[in-house]
Amino acid sequence: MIKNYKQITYRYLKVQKKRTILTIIGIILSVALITAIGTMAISMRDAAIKDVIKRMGDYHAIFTDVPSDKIDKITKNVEVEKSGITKPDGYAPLRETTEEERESLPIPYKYLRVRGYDKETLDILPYKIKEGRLPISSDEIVLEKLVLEYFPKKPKVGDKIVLSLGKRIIKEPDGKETVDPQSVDGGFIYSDIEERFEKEKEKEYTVVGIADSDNVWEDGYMYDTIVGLDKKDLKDNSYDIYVRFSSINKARNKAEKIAKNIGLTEGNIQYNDDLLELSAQSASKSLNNALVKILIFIITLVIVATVAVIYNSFNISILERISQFGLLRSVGSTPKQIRNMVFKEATILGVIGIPVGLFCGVLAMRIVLYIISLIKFDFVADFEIVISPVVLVISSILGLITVYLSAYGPARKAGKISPLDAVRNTGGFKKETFKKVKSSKLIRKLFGMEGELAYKNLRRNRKRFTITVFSMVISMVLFISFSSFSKYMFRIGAVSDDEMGNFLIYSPGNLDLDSMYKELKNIEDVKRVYKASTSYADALVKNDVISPKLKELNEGLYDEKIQGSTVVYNSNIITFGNDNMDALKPYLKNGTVDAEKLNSENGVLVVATTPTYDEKNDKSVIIEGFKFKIGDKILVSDHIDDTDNKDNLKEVKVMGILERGLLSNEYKYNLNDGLSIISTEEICEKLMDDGLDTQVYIEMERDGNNKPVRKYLSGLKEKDLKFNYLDYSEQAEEDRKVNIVMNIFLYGFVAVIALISCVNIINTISTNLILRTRELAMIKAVGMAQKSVRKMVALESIYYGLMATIYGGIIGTGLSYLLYRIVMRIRGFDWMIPWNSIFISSIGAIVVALISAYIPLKRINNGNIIDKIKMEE
Amino acid sequence: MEVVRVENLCKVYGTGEMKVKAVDNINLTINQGEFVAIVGPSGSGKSTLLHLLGGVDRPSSGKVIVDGVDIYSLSEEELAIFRRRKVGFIFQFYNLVPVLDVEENILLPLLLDNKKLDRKYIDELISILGLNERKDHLPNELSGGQQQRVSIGRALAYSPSIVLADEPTGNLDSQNSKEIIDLLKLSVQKYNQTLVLITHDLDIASQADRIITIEDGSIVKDEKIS
Repeated sequence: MIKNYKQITYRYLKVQKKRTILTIIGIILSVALITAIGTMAISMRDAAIKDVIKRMGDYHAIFTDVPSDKIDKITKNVEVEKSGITKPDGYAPLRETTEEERESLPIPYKYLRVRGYDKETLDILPYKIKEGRLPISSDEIVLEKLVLEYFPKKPKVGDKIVLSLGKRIIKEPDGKETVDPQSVDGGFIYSDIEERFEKEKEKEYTVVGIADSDNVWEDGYMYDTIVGLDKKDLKDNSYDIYVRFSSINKARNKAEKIAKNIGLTEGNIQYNDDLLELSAQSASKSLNNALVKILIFIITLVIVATVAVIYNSFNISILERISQFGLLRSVGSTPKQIRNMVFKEATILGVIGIPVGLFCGVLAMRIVLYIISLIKFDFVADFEIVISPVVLVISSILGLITVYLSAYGPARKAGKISPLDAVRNTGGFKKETFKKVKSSKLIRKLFGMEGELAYKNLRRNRKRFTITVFSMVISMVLFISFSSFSKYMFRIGAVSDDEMGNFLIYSPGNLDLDSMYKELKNIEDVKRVYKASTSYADALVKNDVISPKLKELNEGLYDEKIQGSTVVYNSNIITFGNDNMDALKPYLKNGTVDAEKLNSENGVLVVATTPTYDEKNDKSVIIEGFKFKIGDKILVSDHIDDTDNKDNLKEVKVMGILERGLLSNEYKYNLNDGLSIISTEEICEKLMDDGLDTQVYIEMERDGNNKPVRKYLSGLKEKDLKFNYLDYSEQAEEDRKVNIVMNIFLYGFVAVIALISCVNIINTISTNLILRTRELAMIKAVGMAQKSVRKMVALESIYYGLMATIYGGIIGTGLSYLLYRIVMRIRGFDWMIPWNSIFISSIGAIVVALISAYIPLKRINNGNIIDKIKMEE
Repeated sequence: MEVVRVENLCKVYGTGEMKVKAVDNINLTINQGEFVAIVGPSGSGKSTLLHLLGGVDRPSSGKVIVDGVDIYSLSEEELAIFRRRKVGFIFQFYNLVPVLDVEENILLPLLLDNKKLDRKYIDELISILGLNERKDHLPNELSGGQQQRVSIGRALAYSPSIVLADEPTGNLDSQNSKEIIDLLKLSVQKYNQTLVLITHDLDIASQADRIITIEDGSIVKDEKIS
């Protein structure tokens, strides 16, 4: 027994079980998607914050140059949760700089930058100790690994060292002397400033720990050094205070207020900008972020899609019940009561759908993350799903908005239903306004009577036609824009197609390259070792070998002539080593790559292909830049000067024309509209006076074992800290994993969207038929065969699909272009009409339409014709 | 006592050449407790008149005054409440809410008003209608006659000022028709209800207190039967 008219709602929902379930599925998918996206975004932000804290430390602001009597005012402030005190302890010279070093930076010494930290600061900052522990008292010290070299006897943990501490005094151009303040972020820029060191005291420290080096590039002049800080007697005038507020909200205002209170200026505050930015303390900046834009774009799409689905669902269920609502109206329900009933329905569906959706969204993220963790992806190590109440609340609200937005139109419509609709005893579809449709002879000829009936059915009611096509269009648009989105994400994340080999030694340090080269070549599974060298040069060529297209795209670049030849600036002299000349063979268009022949005739190879930029059309193009013939002469100089000095020019002969070079882009194509000249080691050395900058690329056999090389290289690294290399195979592996992860996310997304789309199409098409049950029965009663009915309905579905393809294809393509414009800013690539997605979605829409017509049709066909005709509902 | 007064009531469909006067300047009063039968050929405007009396349609001009209230001066909201409280409709095709059971269908007007039930009255009504055994059934489990009895119950549930029946027996066999008319008469007498009934059946019409004959939207005959 119901107690209130609104309870009729429950009955309707129960009776219309299928529609109710479809609608709830729509709501669940929508909320789950929004939750998943939000959770993902929050989790990523969380991971980024963790990363910043790992790199920069867990503080919000630093107050610099704080006098000792003001420290308490900062650390004891109510807003401050954690604080730490540090103090510059002066510089300690490591050794005098060499003449060569002074040439690039006029500093008399290499220094240790000694700074005292209390325990709290060391907690806040991300310092990690490789060996030993962090300092506690002011006579304990931690040294960077690289620094150990500078002491006469490499200090070990437990050793005592003596440092001469003092000030660096800098003489500015006007003769005034300034003491370097040794500020937290490093202090002065020193070039072109005269500097002297003033010793103040000597101090003995106990080495308690060794830290890993930050200075990978090893040409640093300053090394940060950590010593302890005794907090008992703070009496200096320049302490730096690290502060973490209890809440990051308005961190900048809080810091400014504190500074003002103790008489410091804004210049005395430094912020952990990355951290504040990630915590949305500077919102305007992050809004410009392309990723945020993409996120907004996606969520908008999801909401539009789900509103469409749920709206459709409500709308259809209202249409089906027009006579019901009319009846309620005739027995005296007000429009408001009817509206309330529909909203009540919406609320019930929302109350069921939203929590399930929230749960599904988080669960889905967990499952995805679990799958990702199975492939042992580094990124995931720090990555934790953050279930943020904010995301849950926002998703719920967005879900509710979606539901009510969807229910609003249908509710109004239901409220407006006239009581006469019930009194006149009409089902829903008699209400529709029929339009007389002209017969089309063409359609009749092509598809027979069924086709003509189908056509008339489609055209007779504009509104329903529009609703059906619209719901299919939405589905297609979603599919097209999402699959192009995933394609774009791939393009962005795609590994560049550089064939970089497996390892690159970019800095040999003090080690001997030749012996290294020989040793590497003998390691198992090493296919090739390239000693790649390159050097800038200017080339003089005959004017007609430069392709007109290249000249056209770079107007004015090839106008300078010397001795009748055109100067090609920005050219490169390249060698890959004489052992590797044959690796160029596959790309040889003409001529020879034989090292001996080249050496005997002063021969070189030239690269024909030039990637350049088409300014007019605002895009990158790859063209044939130079059209050399075998035997052409080129004059090469490491520097063309005005003096027209002929000695400077060396003549070489083109003996081979290459499509492209090898390895990284730097060597592969003609760069910067210059010319790449490739030859043997001997010739290249002859051409370049300054000597060549050499890098070693190691290429392994396919599926070869990388371990011996890896071991060899890390051994070299142990020997010489200046030796540096990159392990591309590791990176390639990581890239591959990134790709898999992207796949899981994007295809997961496309799958859910496709599912939503299917729900939508099924809903619309099957309702269309159910509403016409009586009519179809009537057609059968007057003698249309089962088969013909099927054909008619199938033709209708196909027609819907085709119409949807036209609109959906156009809109989807437009949206994919819009996405492309957003993504473009991250990484450029060419846009193409997504024919594939259009085709797939079109076929998909038609198939789903056929299936969703088939099921209710079967039900209609199975029953007794007269029952169906009599059927009122 | 006068329950319904109709003044210069007109209902016009279409315009120009296509203009059809479904109800053409009808004046009429109906008294409390009266049983009025409306007869006339198909398309004469009987149903339109009935709809106008019950406030489900809107007239082109003229007034319908029920219990002293000009119902077409009411807002949509007020009109709905008027229908709920003052009018009981009985339709040829019963028009029950399929998702509600018999008792709930009968109580629907009260539920819409959130009104406290007069249990005694309702129980009595249900037993008069012979639906005691069927209280918990859904409409599709009932025969046509039973469904029509439910709709009579719904019409009477609120003790309305006027019960309007549009060919209530049009869809029933003669046995069921007789039962329904007897029931209607019984309840009208018992509760002193006013009943306006459209019928094609002259047998039924002859049982009324008054027969109004309509042709082309106008009253052509209005006779009292004693």
